[in-house]
Amino acid sequence: MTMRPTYIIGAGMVPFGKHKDIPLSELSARAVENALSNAGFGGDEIEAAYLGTQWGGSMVGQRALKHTGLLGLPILNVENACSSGSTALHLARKMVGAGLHDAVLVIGADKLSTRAGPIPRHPEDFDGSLGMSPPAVYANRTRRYMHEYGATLEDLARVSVKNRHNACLNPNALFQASVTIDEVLESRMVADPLTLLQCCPRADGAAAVIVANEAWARKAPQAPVRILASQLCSGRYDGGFRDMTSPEITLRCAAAAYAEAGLDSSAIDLAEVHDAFSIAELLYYEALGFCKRGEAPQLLRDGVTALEGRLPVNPSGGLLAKGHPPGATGVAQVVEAVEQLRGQADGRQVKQARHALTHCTGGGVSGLDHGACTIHILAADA
Amino acid sequence: MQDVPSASPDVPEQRLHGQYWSDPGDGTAALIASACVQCQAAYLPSIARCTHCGGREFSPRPLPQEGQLYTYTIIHKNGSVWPPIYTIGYVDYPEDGVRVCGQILETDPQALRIGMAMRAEPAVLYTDDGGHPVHCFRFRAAGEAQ
Repeated sequence: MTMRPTYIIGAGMVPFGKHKDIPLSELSARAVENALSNAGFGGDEIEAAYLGTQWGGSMVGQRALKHTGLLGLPILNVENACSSGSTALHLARKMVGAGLHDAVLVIGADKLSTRAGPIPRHPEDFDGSLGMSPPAVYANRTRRYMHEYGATLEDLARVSVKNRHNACLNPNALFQASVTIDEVLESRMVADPLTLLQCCPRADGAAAVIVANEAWARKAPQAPVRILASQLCSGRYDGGFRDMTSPEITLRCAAAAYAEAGLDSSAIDLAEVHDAFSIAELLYYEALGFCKRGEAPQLLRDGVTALEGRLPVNPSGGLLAKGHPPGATGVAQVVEAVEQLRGQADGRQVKQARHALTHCTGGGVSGLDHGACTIHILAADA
Repeated sequence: MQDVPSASPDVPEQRLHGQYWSDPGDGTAALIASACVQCQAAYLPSIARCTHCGGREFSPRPLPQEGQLYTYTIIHKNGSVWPPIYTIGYVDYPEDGVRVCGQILETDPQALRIGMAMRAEPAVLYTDDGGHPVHCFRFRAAGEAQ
């Protein structure tokens, strides 16, 4: 079906950090209040609310909205691993685009500071049951990528250096200190060759956006941001010789998103991509079509993806530096994109930002690249 | 070489993924994939419906003794039940079209290289929360002496 134009008319979040003493429901409620006021909404305008969380437990949406006076409307709590929040957004966009709702509230939330160690995979999963943790998955990809393309340890570390630099300009980021290549490589080994500073930190956080139709967009107090594409894919199973340096789920999702938006990768002015580990950002440059296979380290070395480059990637600091509360990440990426497209990103503002891409993928399932992938392409309203 | 403690009489030996490996007693583990009877595509772990032809009937397919290391990593301090350092990766069996995930004996990165021949052996992967050893297959470089 043809989708009606849909917009994000309000966006807000709480800074990612260690909020050990604040319940997840309160973090979420604060993000909701920020998004509502950003949209000029009191709350009665909202017709449904979708909340994505991976680790928040049951009924986070209801617990959160209790604080906001929004109870009574249909609430869906959505789980899709690292893509939970962006899946909630995808759902909201479908409902508004289909004309079934005029305005939907989307929330992403998670609280990880009270957990210890890496996030485990589900014990029923074959690879997971043998100790294939998320850092292990990415480290396996890293070693194969280095073998096939000759990437160096410095190439990997440069991702962390760039994103930590960007985070220093983002008050919503967990880390506010820059790091050097040497510091990255000398930090403790987690999953050889990935060191601690190449792994996204656990964090607590929540982010919210208001998805609305054209009529609301025309009345919005802040510049609306149009959703040109919203794609959700699940991974395809391949028990054979899957190329672990080429994420098939992101390739497919990107092709669908570019087709829906009627754009190609050359039209993208900035991207927030799922840099859960340093290698991830390099793999996704290639899968999103920002460069050819094997050329990601060169793209980074050339400064193309730096804040001042032609195609800044993770101006927010990304997962590596902003922090990664999984359910919140996909929505927070969109909050960043909205601020960039509105020209409100202050010290990290990307010049002439007209089109932004956000990419969120995760969920470890044996034989799949990932369980879920979402890509959104957003445009400044011209 | 890790000692394999004998299970206490009241607790049956815990064999993780026991349907996919056997211990012939010669220091090796025999890996058993499951092959689609219709198109012969093999899987380990098994699957309910063949992704190549849609077949739903499978029969056991023993894998050859040696496979090739596709990639690997050495994990440090993963917590939970895992040893403080362990190696995990993927081994390919080109003739059967199967890639198998497994832990690997060697924990020195210099001892491993992508493409090298690997074989499987029985091992204790970890001790569970009840203190019982959990047995499974794991890989090791095939060139090493027993």
